[in-house]
Amino acid sequence: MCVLYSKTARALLGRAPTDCARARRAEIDAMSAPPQGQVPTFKLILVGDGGTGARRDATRARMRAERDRTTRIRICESETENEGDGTRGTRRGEDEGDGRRGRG
Amino acid sequence: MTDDATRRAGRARTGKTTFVKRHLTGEFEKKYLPTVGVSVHPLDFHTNCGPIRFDCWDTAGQEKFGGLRDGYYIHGQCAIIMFDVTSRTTYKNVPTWHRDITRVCEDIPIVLCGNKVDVRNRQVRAKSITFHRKKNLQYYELSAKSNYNFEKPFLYLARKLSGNAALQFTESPALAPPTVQVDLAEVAAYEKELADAAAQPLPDEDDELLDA
Repeated sequence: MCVLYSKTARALLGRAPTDCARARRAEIDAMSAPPQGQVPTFKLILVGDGGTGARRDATRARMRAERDRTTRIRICESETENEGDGTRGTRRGEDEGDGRRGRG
Repeated sequence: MTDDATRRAGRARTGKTTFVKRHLTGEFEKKYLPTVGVSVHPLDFHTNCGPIRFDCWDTAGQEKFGGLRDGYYIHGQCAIIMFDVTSRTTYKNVPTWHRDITRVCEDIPIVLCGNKVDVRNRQVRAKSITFHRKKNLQYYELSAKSNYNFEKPFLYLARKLSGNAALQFTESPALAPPTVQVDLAEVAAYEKELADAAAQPLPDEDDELLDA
């Protein structure tokens, strides 16, 4: 039925599903499929009212990633500045050279 | 919104994430799937028949906006329905959760769990909890924050899935230290009340949830 629906949808739309949709479906299928491994593994569904905890976790993870990214950028910037101090003449010369070529 | 603010606003939270995060290895190895909006916690247990793992799917709040999508339930092999014994609404919604699960996963072992038995102002009386008897589910009272009965649902599910009623856990998983203590006398009284209720005839459909 899914195949039929998919074909019908494609015929109607006149194009294949987007890569994004396909990737998303693949991810869901991969995570939903019974896991293969040596340890017997079972998918356990946890339900009930509420559901703010995992979202809070996700938000925290996102914020942590953002903070890490900002820190990395700062570190890179400070490293660049330090490098710049040591090789200022060469870099300036290169920049000037590029500028002259551009204007010419 | 902070925890307190959420609580004040009256949004029922059953403690699913708190429960699943008690298992430290699972918490360490969890993966978040942003496209599905799910955290998957791999919970490992050691039994007398070898290791077993539950990939525990925890939602990110989509249930508040018209239920969960089928992708959440598809290929589910077992389930835990959790409610909060200090919130009648969460118990009243248990039949809806059960219906949603069985609509996609026809015949899987399901455990009903009443969480937060450590809290003093209990609102769902033990004798009012009868849904599991009607649907042939297993019921356990829990206190996620104190680790009380943490392993019980998993042991039940492991036995059902393996078809081995004699299966035992041979070692306890590493759990987060308890942040509250349960009153053992109180939980013993709840257990007795549950046992007494089990001996009573089931109430009518309509009476059950109104009485909760």
